[in-house]
This record gives sequence, structure tokens and C-alpha cells, in this order.
Amino acid sequence: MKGTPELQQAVKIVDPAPYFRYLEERFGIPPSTFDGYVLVQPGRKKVYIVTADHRPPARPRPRTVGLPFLRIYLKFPKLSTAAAQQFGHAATRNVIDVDAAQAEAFLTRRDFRARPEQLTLCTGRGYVLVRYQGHTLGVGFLIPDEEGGCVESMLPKSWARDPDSFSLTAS
Amino acid sequence: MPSVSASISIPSAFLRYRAIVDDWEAFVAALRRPLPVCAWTNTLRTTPAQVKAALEAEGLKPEPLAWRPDAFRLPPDSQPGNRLAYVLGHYHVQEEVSLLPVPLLDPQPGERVLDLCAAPGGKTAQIAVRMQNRGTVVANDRNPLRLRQLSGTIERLGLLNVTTTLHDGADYPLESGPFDRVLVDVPCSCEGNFRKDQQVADAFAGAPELCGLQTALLHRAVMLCRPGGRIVYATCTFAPEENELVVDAVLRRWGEALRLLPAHLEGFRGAPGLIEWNGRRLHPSLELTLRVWPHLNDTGGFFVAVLERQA
Repeated sequence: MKGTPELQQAVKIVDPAPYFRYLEERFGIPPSTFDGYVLVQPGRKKVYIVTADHRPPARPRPRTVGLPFLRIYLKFPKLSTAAAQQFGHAATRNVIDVDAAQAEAFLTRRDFRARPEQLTLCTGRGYVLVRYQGHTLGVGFLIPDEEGGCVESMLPKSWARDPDSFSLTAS
Repeated sequence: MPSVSASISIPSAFLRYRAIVDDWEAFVAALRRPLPVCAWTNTLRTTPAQVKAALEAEGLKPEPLAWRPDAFRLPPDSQPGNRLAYVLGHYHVQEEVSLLPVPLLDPQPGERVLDLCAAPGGKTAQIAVRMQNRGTVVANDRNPLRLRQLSGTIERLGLLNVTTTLHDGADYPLESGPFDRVLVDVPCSCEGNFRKDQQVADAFAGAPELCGLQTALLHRAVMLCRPGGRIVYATCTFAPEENELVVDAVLRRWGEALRLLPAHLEGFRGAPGLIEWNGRRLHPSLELTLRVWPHLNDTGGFFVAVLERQA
């Protein structure tokens, strides 16, 4: 859980317990999903996840170490898109299976409506994983209402597709 | 069939290669054709068969490469980047010649590997995937904007074994080493990219400052590598000053402590490196390096040298 001596020299190691507990509560992701990895904090805003046998240099100072995992110092930590795609398969709660039109909206960073029957795995307002054809696309923010809910696409700009040329619905 | 544009004129800077190209007409004809697109499978996430099926479902026409069945050639006007499977990190889009250095570097799971001039990160990603997402890949670049592009590649492909650093490669701290393997994919005059970008063939091929930087980068890479470890030097230019002459200078500097290994990949056609240029005799082992002319495999131009540090 601690990582190699080189990793400890190079970067701040983070106690993963509170983060794993949060991911289990919100998404039902078992902490064992992350066996073999270590959480580290090379900068201020983000916790990264890296393979436990990783041996980075202390100098030059690492900019990033592994994959962005969570953005912290928010009301609720936000799972990164990269981590959602990597580990989303293990989620059992607050997952929305979307259709092609909804997936297209999500990937072009537009909000979309979710129908009540799509929210059976959801526990309420907050972050959800958006899944299409069994693949986790990323993280959305669900605001439930009487007719289902509105899902805001939390896809970063750098991941977004251009709505003029990207389509999952064109025949 | 892509149209052959006879209107594209071959830069006069290329005429000096007439004596070292085996088939000048074929070389010129290849340079005038648009470059095929290439995509390789992220085997951490999916299989080559699934990538092929996904590309076909998009109406593209993937052809497995003869020498690498997990990578596919696509027609020049294909846009495989704007697809669902791409967003999901199932494949990466990269020119075929850019797939050459990493199999020759041959990184193993658990090793410490340095990619000294890494951005935008396609070769870093190949290294990380070959290492099964374990061990240590250190990906360095001196340009912060390009380093951000590299982070994007890491994130989309789901790489959990890469550290990025921002530093001048020629002055990379020695205390970061030793590394089992080092890739030095140096900045170069990019003549081999002519089929993608006709602006590249400017007159700075072989410019002394550029060659000086390349030599310094390769020398540093050897210093950072452990004895018995491997160094791969690569460029995408035809210019011997940036290829064989750089390797020659570093071989002379290291003497017995450094030797060339054959740069050969089964199923990919290459020409041997030069052992003489402009009347100057080079180290005879330079014929073990790999020169890629565009007409040999219908690709861009490239150069690779595989070195082993002895002591």
C-alpha cells in the first residue's frame, strides 16, 4: 500500500482509506478494485493512482505520476474521466446506462435528460457514471426531478468531441 | 486509390539523396502520394479483432500491418480519432514508422524506462502498454504545452505506470538513473514527414545547432542507461548529419563502452545505415542501423539506431 522507497522519495503518498470509502458508498466500487495501486499527490488539486512497483525519480520533480484519480477540495471529490473509464466497470450504484443520443450529448459536453427507468441504480443528486454499451464514458452530475432527471456532462473540454462532426446516431 | 499528385514538387534539398536511394523514381512517386493513416490497439483495454471490427463498423477499411497485426493501416483521408472507440482509449492513431522504435527498445514489465523527448506521447504509450501497465516509464519533455498533450494520451489510454517530467533532456539529472532502457526520439528536421506536411522540407536539415543538440541528447541518454542496458535513437529525417553522423560521434566518444545492435523488424523493409557520407568514412557498424525510405513500405521517412551500453 505504501509504494516503493523511490515513490515515497519522489511524491507525497496519500492515505487511500477515505477516498476508497467514498467510492464504495457512492458507486459501490469495492476497495479491492484498487489492489496493486498506490494513491499519490504530486500537486495540489488532484490525487493520482499509480502501479505499486513504480519507481519515479525525485529529481527532476515529477509533474504527474500515474493516472489522475480524484479532484479533491470540492464538496465531494470528483472521480476523473480517466479513472471512471479505467475502473467504472466495478461500479454498481449511481450508474446510468444511456442510449446513443444521450451518449452523443455526453461526449459533446451537452446536458441530457434521463428517464425514470434509467435511474433505478441512482441514490440521488450527485455524481453518476455514464455508461454506454457496457463502457463507462465518464462522470455526469445528476439532478433528479419528477420526470427523471437532468444529467450534466462533466467531461473535460480536452476529451469533448466536436458536435458538428461526431455522431453515434447517424445511420 | 489515393490520387498521385504530380504537381507536388520534390524539394531541391532532397536531390542530395539521389546517390543513396536505391530507386529514385519510386522514392519521388511515394513522396507525392498522401500518407496512409495508422492505428494501433491498446491491448490493455481491448483486442486487435475488436478494434478492427469497430473501425469497420465506422465504415473505415482497416488492413493489419504485415509486421504488426495489432496495428492497422487506413486510407489517407480516414479520421479514426473522431470515434467512440478512440474516446474509450481502445486504440491510438500514429504513423506507421512511429511504431518502429518501441519493439526495438523491447521494454519489459517491471523495468525502469526513460523516454527522454516524449511529447506528444505516442511512443511513451507504446512502451507503457508493452510493459503491461506495470513498472516505471518516465516520460520527459522540455515543452510544457506538449507535455500536456502527453498527459492527455496517458489519460485516454489508461496508463498507470508513467511519470511525466519537464526538463531539458540534454541536461537530464543523472541522479534520476540508472534506467534499463532509454528512448531518444530527438527533435529533427522532419524531412520524413513530407507526405504529411510539405512545409517541413526547409533548408535546416543537418543544421549544426540541431545536430549538436541531437548528439548531446544521445550522449546524455547513454549516461542515464545502466551498463548492459539499451538505448534507441530515432529521427524522422533523411539527413545523414542528424542520423548516422550523430551516432558515429557518440560511438567514438564512448569507444568500447557502447556498441550497435541490429535494428531489424521481421516483415518491415529497411535499408542499412550509411557507412560513408560526403567522402567521410563512418564507423562500419553503422550499417546495423535502419534507414526507412518512404517507397519501401509506403510510409514516412525514418531512422533508428539500437545501442547497447557495455560498461
